[in-house]
Amino acid sequence: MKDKEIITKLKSSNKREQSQSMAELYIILKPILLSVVKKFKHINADDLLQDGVFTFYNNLVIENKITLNNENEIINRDLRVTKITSYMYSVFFNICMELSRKSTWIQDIDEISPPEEELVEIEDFENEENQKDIKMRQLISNLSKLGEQCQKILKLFWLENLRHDEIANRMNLSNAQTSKATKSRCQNKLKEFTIHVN
Amino acid sequence: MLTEKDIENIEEYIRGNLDANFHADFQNKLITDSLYKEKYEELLELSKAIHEYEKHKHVFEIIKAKRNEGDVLQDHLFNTRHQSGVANQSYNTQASKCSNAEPLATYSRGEGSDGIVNFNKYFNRRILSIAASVAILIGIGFYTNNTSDNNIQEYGSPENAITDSLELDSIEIKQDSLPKLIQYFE
Repeated sequence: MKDKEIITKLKSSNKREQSQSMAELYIILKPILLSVVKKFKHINADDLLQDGVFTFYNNLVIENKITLNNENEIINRDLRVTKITSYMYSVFFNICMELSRKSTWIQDIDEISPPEEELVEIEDFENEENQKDIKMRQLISNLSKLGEQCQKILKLFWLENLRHDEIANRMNLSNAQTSKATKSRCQNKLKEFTIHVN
Repeated sequence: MLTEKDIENIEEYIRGNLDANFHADFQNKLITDSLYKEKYEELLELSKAIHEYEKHKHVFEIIKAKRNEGDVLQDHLFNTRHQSGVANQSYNTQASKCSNAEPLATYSRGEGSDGIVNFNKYFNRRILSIAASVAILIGIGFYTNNTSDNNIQEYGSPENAITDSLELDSIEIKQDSLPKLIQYFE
């Protein structure tokens, strides 16, 4: 499958096509992911893959920040053009840098710095708008790491707008107070994931 | 400090359930109380994230399915193995879900192995081998002691040396008394 086909299928609303395209994307991304993981000793490859693929999906489908030209290259809003592989390298690299910044890991910065030519491709993550985007993306990605019970209670409260007594009823909890406490615990867990980084 | 009621009001406002009579008061608090505003922004962000997550949940399910095929980490191990030049085994440490936790050491044996084994399981075996080494060292110590005792016995212990010297003395005495004895018989 060519890059253009992958992107088109990923953008389609057909879940089967999206799944096929994601499988192809995974094959393309694997060597890039591994080359980044080698530089960051504390990064979990599985988590990085999830965050990276979701970031790509988010920028392409949800926020329309990037698009593909006829040369199968990615164009961003500033009309900068890069190859998919370079773009994804920068996505993975920036996620790792972001996680490193928030954590207490000690790693020699020279050891992890990309070569000069790759630096050109790395997006600027310093401005405030981007920080907000990153935080939102991480929140969404971290929601998938919560247990089923937590995901369900948060969905019933925030999405379906149910009261705590109704949630307790739906989830077989003893009373509204238990539902309240469970929801609060789940929100704190999510917050912890975001602070401590998966 | 925010009260439980404050947080409840913020949640209800975001969910669109706060009584219209309280809206003016709520807006006022948002302007005057920075903690209140901070909490409002945090919960608003959470609410948006949950909406987005539900919309694109299937993407995570696809990624999860790929993840469960489970070759990312093993490929990582394979890669490290070739890099380090170690032919048959490699080690990898990865942070657990919470980054302040101890890293979990994983261990993989050879390319044919499809299971990654928690290296911590081998810790007890390691302690046992250390204990065995100490026991061997103590054994060697005892052996050396016993051997040196044998040497003393072989070459004569100090007590024997004294006795021997006494016997020699007595021989000398006997030798001294011999001419006297001859003289006596003569």
